[in-house]
Amino acid sequence: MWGWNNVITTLFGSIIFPLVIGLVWGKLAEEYKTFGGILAGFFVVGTVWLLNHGIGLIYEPQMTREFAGPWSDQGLTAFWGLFVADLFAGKKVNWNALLSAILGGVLGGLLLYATV
Amino acid sequence: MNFIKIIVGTITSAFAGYGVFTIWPSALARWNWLGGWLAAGIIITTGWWVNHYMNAIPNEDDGAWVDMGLAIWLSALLGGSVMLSLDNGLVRSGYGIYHGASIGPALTTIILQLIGATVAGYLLYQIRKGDV
Repeated sequence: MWGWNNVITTLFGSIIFPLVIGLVWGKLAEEYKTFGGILAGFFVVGTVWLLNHGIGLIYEPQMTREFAGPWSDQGLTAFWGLFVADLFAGKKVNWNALLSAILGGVLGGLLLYATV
Repeated sequence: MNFIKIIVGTITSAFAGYGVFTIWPSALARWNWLGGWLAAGIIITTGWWVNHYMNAIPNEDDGAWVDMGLAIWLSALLGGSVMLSLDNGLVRSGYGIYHGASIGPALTTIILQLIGATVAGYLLYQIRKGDV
């Protein structure tokens, strides 16, 4: 179960993902367009995924049981970190975009549920 | 609200969510860490290109950025994950809320993720303020 070491690594993993995306992704895409995004996909998400879900900095003890779930992906930290960074800067909530992603999650989940 | 934009964004972000939790577990099962890293490079880049580079998730300059990560996170939370295995074909690799899994055991993780991401968001805000 949860120990202080797990709390610390989960917090650290949740900080590093949106932070690196926010610092690197936009600049790579601006400079190199689509190729910049491809570089970022491999080197930012690929590498941080190895840390967060490979080594397991983001601790998910619910996955160790027999009927494991539900999985809380690092995607949540990417969304929330970039979202609140803009809220701090005084930007408003874009309901078109927010609803798109929520309904996309509901639909993606349905497809995953229906597959096997 | 623009319903056409929302429908387009729903479909393209569902692609990201469904793609991540089918291809990723499959590549991981087949090639271990190399597979996980390759899966990131293949699905996330394609998903990013459609959702963010082509702006299918209708983000605007004056709106708070909505990342496709939200759709990806929700997909697995709700529908679990599926993988293609060498021996048994398509098998389930994780259960979600649609299967009756309780959100309770994941709640500590979710809350800590939100706290960490808020810290990152504040750091980003401060860095950008000094940067531009």
